[in-house]
Amino acid sequence: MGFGYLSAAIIALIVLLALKKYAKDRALWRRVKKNLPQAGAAGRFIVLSAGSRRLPAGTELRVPFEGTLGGSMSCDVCVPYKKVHMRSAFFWVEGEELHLVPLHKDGFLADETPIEPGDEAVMRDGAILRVGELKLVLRMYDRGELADGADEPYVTSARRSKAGQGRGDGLGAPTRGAIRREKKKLNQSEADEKKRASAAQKREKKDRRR
Amino acid sequence: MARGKIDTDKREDETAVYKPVKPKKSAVKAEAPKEEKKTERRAPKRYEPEQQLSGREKREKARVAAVARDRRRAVSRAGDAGVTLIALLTLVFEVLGLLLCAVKTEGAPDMQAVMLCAAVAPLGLLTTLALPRFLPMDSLVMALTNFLCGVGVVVLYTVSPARGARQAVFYALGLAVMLVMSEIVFHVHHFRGLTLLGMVLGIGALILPLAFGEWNNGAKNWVQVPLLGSFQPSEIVKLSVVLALAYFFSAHRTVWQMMPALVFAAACLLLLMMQRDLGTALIYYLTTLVLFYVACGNVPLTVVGLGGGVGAAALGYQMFAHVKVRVAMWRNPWSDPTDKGYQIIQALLAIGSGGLFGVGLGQGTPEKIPAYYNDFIFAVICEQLGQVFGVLLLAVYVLLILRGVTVVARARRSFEMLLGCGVLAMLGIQTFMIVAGVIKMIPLTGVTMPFLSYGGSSLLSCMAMIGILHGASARAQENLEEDILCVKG
Repeated sequence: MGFGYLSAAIIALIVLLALKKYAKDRALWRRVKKNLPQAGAAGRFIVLSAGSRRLPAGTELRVPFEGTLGGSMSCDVCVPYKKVHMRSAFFWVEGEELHLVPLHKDGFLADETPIEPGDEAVMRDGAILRVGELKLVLRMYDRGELADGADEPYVTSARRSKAGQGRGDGLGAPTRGAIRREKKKLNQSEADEKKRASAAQKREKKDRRR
Repeated sequence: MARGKIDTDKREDETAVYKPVKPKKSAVKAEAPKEEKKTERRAPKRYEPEQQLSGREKREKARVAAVARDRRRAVSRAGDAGVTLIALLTLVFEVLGLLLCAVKTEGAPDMQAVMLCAAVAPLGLLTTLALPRFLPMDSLVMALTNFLCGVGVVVLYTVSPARGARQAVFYALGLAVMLVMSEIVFHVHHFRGLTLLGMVLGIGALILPLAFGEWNNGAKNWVQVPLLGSFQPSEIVKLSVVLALAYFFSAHRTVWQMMPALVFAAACLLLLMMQRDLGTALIYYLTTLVLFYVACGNVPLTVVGLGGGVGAAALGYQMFAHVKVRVAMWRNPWSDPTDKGYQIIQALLAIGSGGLFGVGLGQGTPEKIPAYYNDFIFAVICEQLGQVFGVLLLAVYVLLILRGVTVVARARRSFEMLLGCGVLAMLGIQTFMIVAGVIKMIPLTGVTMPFLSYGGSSLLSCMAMIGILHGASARAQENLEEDILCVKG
């Protein structure tokens, strides 16, 4: 019976000490995150302009090395904006570049270039990501010497294409959708050129008549 | 200009007054001309201008110092006083418990208990204090795991000395397995080969009991191996399941890309259903569901998966007679108190008879409960050490899982995060299922209690899972240290 009291006291002490250590470490981690934003993050998105009261201009959003971007609080980069899906895109960091792949047709523009779902946008420091009125500028942290010696990122384009999605055949190979879109763009640009040429010819004819 | 030379000259020229950091010693040495040679040999003393700091500047200075202190603490691997105290308390519990067992027997003291005390108690203390210094392991997880294993060894020794001694051997082996697993997760960077190998071996291991096993307590989940003895493959396959789920669910893949892991998990579930090991099947299923939600956050598909599970449970209820019996005994064990409801009634009586502080270590009648050394170990603990101890033991499990979640949340890559999440989900679900079954909250599922129940397969798989958690923690800590050292200023 005496051992019952003793063991209860021992385990109660252990629980208290563990709780204290747990709380202390959480507080330390919170302070480290606050005082050293570079710790555990590859960079940050700075909001330049937004049509949302919940996301005022100047807000800084931490960008981890891998994660999701969307309107949901569970996303690694939470962007509460009406045109952004709850889980809108995923991204990862390779070296000093951020690779972003949208999952929905939210109308992302990376440096004014539209990105379709499944496309991979490679963004460097200073790149601007735009969706509607929302404008975010990417600022990557300078990781100095460690940037070269860092681990190979888990998500690479090669791995993604090998993952059995049938959207490419190796490292850096364009996806089927991208090829289709490229063809469309080419056809459209050819048609536009023809139109322009015919319009120019017509103008020349008119000028000659005059 | 050298620091040591500015003191006297500058005092005359400039208005700023320079004050030595250690005024008494420097004042004497500066005034004594004989000791000039000695002062030259020594390291130059530091002189600082006497500044009148404003309140704001003082606060800023304190903030900078606090940040520097936090940086030092974050990268430090030095032991923590709290963790050291936990390790010492664990040692006290183990030593007192085992010595009590040694002197309890009439006549000569039980030397086996003394030897066990000499072996097990320092093992826990050493691993908690020494290992996190050499490897970036999480010291709190280590301390709590050692405490749980220590409780298991002590309580098992009181109810069955032979089993207690064997459990101590499994504990030592488990520590080695934990170390190996943490090193694998820490050092291996490409898991594709390991995952595929684990999947093939996992399916093979689950087929073994169906081919060579024998029916035991309504299930065919044990295999006899000539040199190793008997083991339960479904315990070891847990690691393969967690690895496969983490690998194929990571990197934010689509549902289609997650299919290999889902198919593997479904195959494992099917094989477990064929073995009639429904408790383990439930653990696999719920872990898959939790990881699926964590990985993709797709609520509709998770709900569909949950619905599928409920449908499968209903089908299992209709198909298997022993499931019907367990549900019936859960609803009213007193309908058959001498046969089918005997187990649960005895467990409830044991918990009740223990009272708040228990009947004492080695007292009571634990042998009346069937499977008192594995499935119903929680009832035995409550009877011998009391309900207060039982509740606080559950708090230790909760703290272990909470700490694991904190560790996992720091992981840089989704693979490591999902690996840790899988381990925690598996341990948490298993603990809940067995404790809730013993206290008649849910029907009994017949799984072991992590770290406490007797059994080599169970303890080794649990320790391996803790090793995986340590590996993920070590990777996160290493990345954090890199980041902190990389930051200028």
